[in-house]
Amino acid sequence: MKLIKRHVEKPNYKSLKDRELVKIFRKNADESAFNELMNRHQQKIYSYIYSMVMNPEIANDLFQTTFTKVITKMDDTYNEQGKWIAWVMRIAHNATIDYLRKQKRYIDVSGWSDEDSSTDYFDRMEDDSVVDADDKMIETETRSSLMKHIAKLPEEQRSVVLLRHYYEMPFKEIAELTDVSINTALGRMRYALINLRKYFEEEREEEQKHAHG
Amino acid sequence: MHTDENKAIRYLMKEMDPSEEMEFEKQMRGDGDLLIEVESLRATNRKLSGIPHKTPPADLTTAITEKAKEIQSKRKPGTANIIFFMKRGIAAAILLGAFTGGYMYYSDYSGSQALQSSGTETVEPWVDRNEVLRFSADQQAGQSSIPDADLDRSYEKLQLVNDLTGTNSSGNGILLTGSSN
Repeated sequence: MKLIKRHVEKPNYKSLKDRELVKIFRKNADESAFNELMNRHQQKIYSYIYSMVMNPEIANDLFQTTFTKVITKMDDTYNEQGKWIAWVMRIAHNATIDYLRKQKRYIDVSGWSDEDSSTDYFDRMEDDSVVDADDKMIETETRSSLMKHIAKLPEEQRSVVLLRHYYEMPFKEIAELTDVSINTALGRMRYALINLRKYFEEEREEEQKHAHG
Repeated sequence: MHTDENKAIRYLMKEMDPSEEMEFEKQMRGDGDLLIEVESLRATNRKLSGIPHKTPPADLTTAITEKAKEIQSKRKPGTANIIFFMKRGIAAAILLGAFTGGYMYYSDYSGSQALQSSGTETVEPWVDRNEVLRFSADQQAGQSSIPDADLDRSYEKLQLVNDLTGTNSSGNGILLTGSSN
C-alpha cells in the first residue's frame, strides 16, 4: 500500500476570514486560528462588556464567561452561516444583560478612572493630536464625563449606543441581537442621544453655576 | 416600516438609501425645527467617538486560549472520530434497513400479486368427479400434476368392452347412421 505523505502548510491566518478561522479551529483544534479570532475581536467585546458594567473585575468575569460559552458551544450552536462575531456578541450581550438584571444596582462610574494605574484606559488612548497638557486634561475630562453620562443611560439605550459605536453594527443586526424590532432599536438610539444631550446640558449648567458662585 | 420619528436617526446613521436621503434633506431645508433637531443629534452623536476602547488583561486572554485549545483537542481525536464513524454507521444502518425493507415489501407485494392472480379460482374448495373435496392448497402444491392425475383417473372409469354384441339392451335402440335424409 502506497502511503501518500501530505505536506501540511500553515495558513496565513491574518488573511483568513472569521468563518475560515472557525472552521480550522473546529477541525484541527488549531490554537493559532483561535488566537487570531481573539486578537481581532477581544478589544471590542471587552470594551462593550466593560462599558456596560463599568467594573474591571466584573468585566473580566463576564469576558471569561462569554468565551467559555463560545468555546463549549461553538460546535453545537454556531452554524457557520451567520457572522461569527455577531454570534459571540449575542453571547456577550446576553451575559452582560443577565448580570445587570440580576444585580440591579447602581453602577460605579468611578471605575473608569480609579482602577490600577497600569491598566488605566486613559494611558492607552491613541490620540497624537493631544499634545498640550491642558488639552489632554480637557480631553480626559470630556471622556470621563461622557462615560459617566453613558452609565446613566437606561441599559437598553446604553447597549444600542455601544453596539453601534464598537461594531458600527447596522440597526437591523442590533435589533436582531437585542431581540427587538428595528424601529425600537432606532428609537432607543434616538432617546439615548436626547438623554445624553440633556446630561451634557445639565453638566454645563452646573459648571456655570460653580463658576459664577 | 420606519416611523417618522426615527428618520433623523436613520439619516445620521446613514441607514437611508440615496433617494430617501435626498428627500429627507429636501424636507430639512423646508423645516427649520427638523434641521435643528438633526444638527443637535449630530453634535451629541459626534461626542460618542470619544468612547474609549479597553483591552482585556493578557493573562485572561492567555487562559482563555489555553482553555479553548484544551477543550477542542479533547474533542478532536477521540470524540470527533467516534462521532464521525457513528454518523456513518447510523447512515449505513438506515440505508441497509431501507433496502431490506424495500426488498421485503417488494417481494411480498409481487407474491401477493401472484397469489391474487391465481387465487381467484383456488380460494373456494371444489369437489372433483371422484367426490373428493379439494382445496386450493392441493391445487397450488401440485397445480401442474392435478390435470394429469384427473385425466388418468378419468380413464380408470372406462371399462374394456368384451361383448361386442352388447348385453346392454339400452343400446339397441340407437341407430348409428349418418343422416339418411
